[in-house]
Amino acid sequence: MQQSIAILKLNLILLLKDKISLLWGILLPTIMLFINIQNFQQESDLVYWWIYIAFNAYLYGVGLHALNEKDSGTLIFIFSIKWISVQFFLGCLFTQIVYVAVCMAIFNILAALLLGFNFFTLCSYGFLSLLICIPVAFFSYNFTYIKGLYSSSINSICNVLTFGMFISISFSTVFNQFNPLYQLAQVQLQTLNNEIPIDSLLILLLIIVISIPSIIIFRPVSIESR
Amino acid sequence: MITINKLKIKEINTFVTLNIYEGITYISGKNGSGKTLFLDYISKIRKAKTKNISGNTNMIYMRQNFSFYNRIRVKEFIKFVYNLCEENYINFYSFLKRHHISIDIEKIKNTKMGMLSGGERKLIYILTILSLQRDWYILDEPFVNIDKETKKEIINLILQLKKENRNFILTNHDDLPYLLEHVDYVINFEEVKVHF
Repeated sequence: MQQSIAILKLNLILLLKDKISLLWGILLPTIMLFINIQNFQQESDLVYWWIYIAFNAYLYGVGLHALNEKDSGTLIFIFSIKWISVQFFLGCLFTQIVYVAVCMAIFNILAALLLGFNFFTLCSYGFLSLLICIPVAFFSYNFTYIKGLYSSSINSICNVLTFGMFISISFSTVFNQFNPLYQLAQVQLQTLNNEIPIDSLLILLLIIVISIPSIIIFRPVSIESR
Repeated sequence: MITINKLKIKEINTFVTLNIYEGITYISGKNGSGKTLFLDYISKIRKAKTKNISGNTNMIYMRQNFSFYNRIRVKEFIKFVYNLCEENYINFYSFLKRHHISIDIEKIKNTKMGMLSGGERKLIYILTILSLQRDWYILDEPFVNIDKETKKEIINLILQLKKENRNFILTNHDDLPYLLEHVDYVINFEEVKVHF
C-alpha cells in the first residue's frame, strides 16, 4: 500500500505542477454546462456530465497514462527500483479518484450556483458516477497489454472517440447502444430510480475481472526503445 | 552467487551461461553487444520465459538511461524513491554524511531534476541507488557524464560498501584503470555469449 501512496503522491505533485490540464478537466464540462443550461430540470440531468468527467479521468489518467509513461522510459526507472505492477495501477487509480472528486466538487459548486440545485445532492450523485466509472480504469489498462501499440496513436484515437461519444449523447441515435458514456449514464439513472441494473453491473464486474491480467502481467519496457 | 543457465536473450539471438560471484564484477563488451539487455534480464525488468536465473534477489538496478519527470525537485525525487522502497528518506542524508560524500545536497535539493546538469542528475541517481540497502547493485554505465574527481569518489564509495558485504555488477563504456584495479572479476561479455 505504501508504494501505491508513493505513486499517488508523485502523481498529485505532477498534477499540481500542470495546472492547465487540471483546469481543462473542470473547464470543458463547465462550458458544456453553460451551453446546455436551459435543459436542466433536476439534479439527475447532470449525470452525463459527471460520467464524462469520471470516464475521461480514468481513461486518460490510468491506462493511457501508464502507456505514455512506459513509452517515455519513466516506468522502467520506477520498476527497476521496485517491481510494483499492482501498486502502480492502484496508485494511478487513487490519483484519478482524488482528481475526479476535486473536479466534481468544483463543477458541482458551479452547477449549484447556476442552476439552484442542492450542492450535497449533486455531490452524492457525482460520487455514484465516480464509482460506476471505475471499470473504465481497469478496461483502459488493457491498452498496455496490446503489443505494438504506441501511446501517441491510442491517445489520438481516444480523443476522437470520447468527443464523438459525448456529442452523440445529445442525439437519439442507435449508436448510443454502443456508447459507453451513454450506457454508464443509464446504469446511474436506473440506480437513482431505485432499479438495480443487474445485467449492467455484471458486465462492469466482468470488465474488471478480465482486465486483472493486464495489471498483474504488466511490462514496463517500451516497444519504442531498448 | 547469481547463477545464469542458458538465459535466452531473444533480442540479440543469444544464450548466456554464467556465474556471478559475490564482490565486484565488471562486465566489459562492445557497444551493442547486449550488456544492458543482459542486465535487464538479471534484474527481472525483462522476464525470461523459463527460470534460468537464480540468486538474483534483494537487488537494485541502476539503468544506463535515466528518465524521470523534469518538474520534480531533487528532494521530491529522493523522497519518492525511498517511499517506493518503504524506507525513511532521512537515511539518504545520513548515508551522505557517513560516507563523507562531497555533494552539496542543501544547495540542489530544491532544484528541479530537469534543471540539473547531466552529471548532477546522474550523481543524484547513483547516490540514491547506493544509499538503499541491498545485497546486489547492478550499475549500468554509472560513470557516464560524471567528472573525473566524482568518478573516483563513487568508486571509493563502492569499495566502502563492498566492505559492508554489498555486491556489485557493473559495466562501463571506458575501462577505467582505477576501477579495474579494484574489481574482483572481469567478464568479457562477448566470451559468454552463444548465438543461436
